[in-house]
Amino acid sequence: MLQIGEFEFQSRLFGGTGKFASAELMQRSLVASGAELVTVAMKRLDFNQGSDELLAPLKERGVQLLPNTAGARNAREAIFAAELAREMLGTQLLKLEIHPDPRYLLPDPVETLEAARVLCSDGFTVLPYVHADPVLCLRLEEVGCAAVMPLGSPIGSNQGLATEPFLKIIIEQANVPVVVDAGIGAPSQAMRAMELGADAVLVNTAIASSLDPVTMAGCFKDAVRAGRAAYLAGLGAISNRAQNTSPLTGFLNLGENHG
Amino acid sequence: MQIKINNQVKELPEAMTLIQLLEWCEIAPGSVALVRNGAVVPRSQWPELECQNGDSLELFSAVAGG
Amino acid sequence: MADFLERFIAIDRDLLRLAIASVSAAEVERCLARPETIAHNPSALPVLLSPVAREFLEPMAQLSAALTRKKFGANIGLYAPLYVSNLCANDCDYCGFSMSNKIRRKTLSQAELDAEIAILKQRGFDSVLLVSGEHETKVGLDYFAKALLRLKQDFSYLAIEVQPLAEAGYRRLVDEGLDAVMIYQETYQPATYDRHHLRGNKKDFGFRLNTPDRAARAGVDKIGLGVLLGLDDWRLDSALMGLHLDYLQQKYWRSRFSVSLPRLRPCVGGVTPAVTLDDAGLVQLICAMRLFSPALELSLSTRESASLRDNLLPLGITHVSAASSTEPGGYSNPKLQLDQFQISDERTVPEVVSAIRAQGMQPVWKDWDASWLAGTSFTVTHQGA
Repeated sequence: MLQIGEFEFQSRLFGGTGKFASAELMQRSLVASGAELVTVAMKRLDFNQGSDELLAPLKERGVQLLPNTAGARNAREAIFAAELAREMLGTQLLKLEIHPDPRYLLPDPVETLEAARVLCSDGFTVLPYVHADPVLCLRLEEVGCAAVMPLGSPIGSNQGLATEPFLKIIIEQANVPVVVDAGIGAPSQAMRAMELGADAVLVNTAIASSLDPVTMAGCFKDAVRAGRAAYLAGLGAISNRAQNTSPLTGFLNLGENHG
Repeated sequence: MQIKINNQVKELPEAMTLIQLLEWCEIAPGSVALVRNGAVVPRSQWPELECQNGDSLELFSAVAGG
Repeated sequence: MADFLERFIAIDRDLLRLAIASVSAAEVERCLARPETIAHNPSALPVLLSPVAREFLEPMAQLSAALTRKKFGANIGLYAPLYVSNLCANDCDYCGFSMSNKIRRKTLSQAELDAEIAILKQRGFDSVLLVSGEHETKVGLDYFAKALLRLKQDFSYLAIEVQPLAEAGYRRLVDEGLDAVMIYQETYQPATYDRHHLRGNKKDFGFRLNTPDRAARAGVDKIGLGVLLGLDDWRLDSALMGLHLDYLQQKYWRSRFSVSLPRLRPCVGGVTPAVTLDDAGLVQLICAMRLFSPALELSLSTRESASLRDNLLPLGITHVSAASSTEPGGYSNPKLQLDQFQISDERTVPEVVSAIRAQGMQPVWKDWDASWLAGTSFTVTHQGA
């Protein structure tokens, strides 16, 4: 069971609703993925469009929506987007994504930290999307973020866990859940992130743009489960969330008096 | 009275509250956020607040993406 | 803060021209063997634009198509040019709107603008390029501001192709909803530039050259560059445009960029091309720009024929216009004969859309990459510490 803020999730695979060929395909893929949390974007209402068939089916199945501030280029715009999201969806949950660079879509650390500080103090449950910068993740935790979402590699690059050495450090040091987001292009990469000890992964493009999104979603579901199970079975590196076992020195009964 | 919604000028037939305005425009209030003259208006206030002449409204909705 | 002119003056154009001409086949091969070394690498420009690179058109096209697909998916953006005025205070010998051409001058009134807008909306366009001649006093900042305010009601993406404005002017238009500025240098060779621009403000090469800097600083989301292919040596002009693009992308990393590829076309009182750019050359240019700048938008207008446009779609083009009129009021009254240049692809919008699909591409009307927050003035409830 994964806890983020006041929300609990059985599934450690989070999904996205973007880039699918059709709304129907998206729904079926998300069902196949077992995701209990999916990101949605926000746009100006298009009068000609009619109401989107997006939300009702998701809500009916009890899927939690995670509004994304993507499109915001600075803290002020992100804070405004957050206020819109809260009104729109009636949730305090928020993915904070600020990328002013249109070429690589990398997150702006300065604007993100500033926006996180303001939004956390305003009661939002903030999940910030950031580079895999361990110090930045600690700072975000300090200002009250409910989790951190470091990237594996640039959005759309399919480079997998290019930031692996830093993800390990973040996972080791974090006191909030770590959700690896962006750049995961294959189930094996999602599995790898879970084996490292990540609490969850967010996958959108890899599923949506595959030739068979429904099947691919199922593959990611299996990969995330297997990766998590492998981690718990003892693969994990030194982490304050691993089981504390001291098989050789347990007889000394040193456990009771940690300083 | 005249108001602007998402940059389009609309002529209202009568006085109406924000919630009535959405009905008139045939917009389901479900997952929409409303900004009036630059400020987000909490949903709870929509049945109470009346449109004023010259109001500039922006409507946003959740869409696939993210 | 210095603008591009300062950097431009330092470029040795003769040396660049020589470099382009003396590239060997082996250099091109080496370059294409490692395409990842081409992106944002200015020294790759002369190699890809060289005469000898023509021998490598197919491999270049393969790389260009794959890269475009990766960055843009199969999307082709549709936009419509909207000519609001052909009044002009410049004398440029290649243009139908030239001040000394005895054509009927027209500037759209509010009602005429409304009529043009209605037609474009009905055709499905959501992205519009407002075009005018260059007449600062009669069709200046106030006219544009008013036009943008009107256009914003019906279109979600607004670009302008008008005279160069001051930074403050661009700021004002950004506040009114301006998204993009297209400003074509026509040629980056000052002597040639001087020969073709005979009278008017457009004679000022440097002011025009620094326009992208001003627009970017003013917060314009997208800046479009271009040269009039055929005015001079297209290889050199394109290489110089590439260097301009490189400078802008480095300096204004928040902005997006676009390049247009207008080839000189017949017009009233016009000029014949000094140097012909044939179709193969155009393909080479498209591929070179794509490889040099993977995220660059490449725009092809209805100047080019239907069959050529269709074939170019998968190669690297990202935006096209359709059923364009190049005269003010031309959508409402197509027979006015005030065209800036003749168009070649005369297909209707549905025909162009079908052609796009037939190429396996997806026509897109909305610019999903443009920020949905742009153009909204707002205050935040929580002021922060």
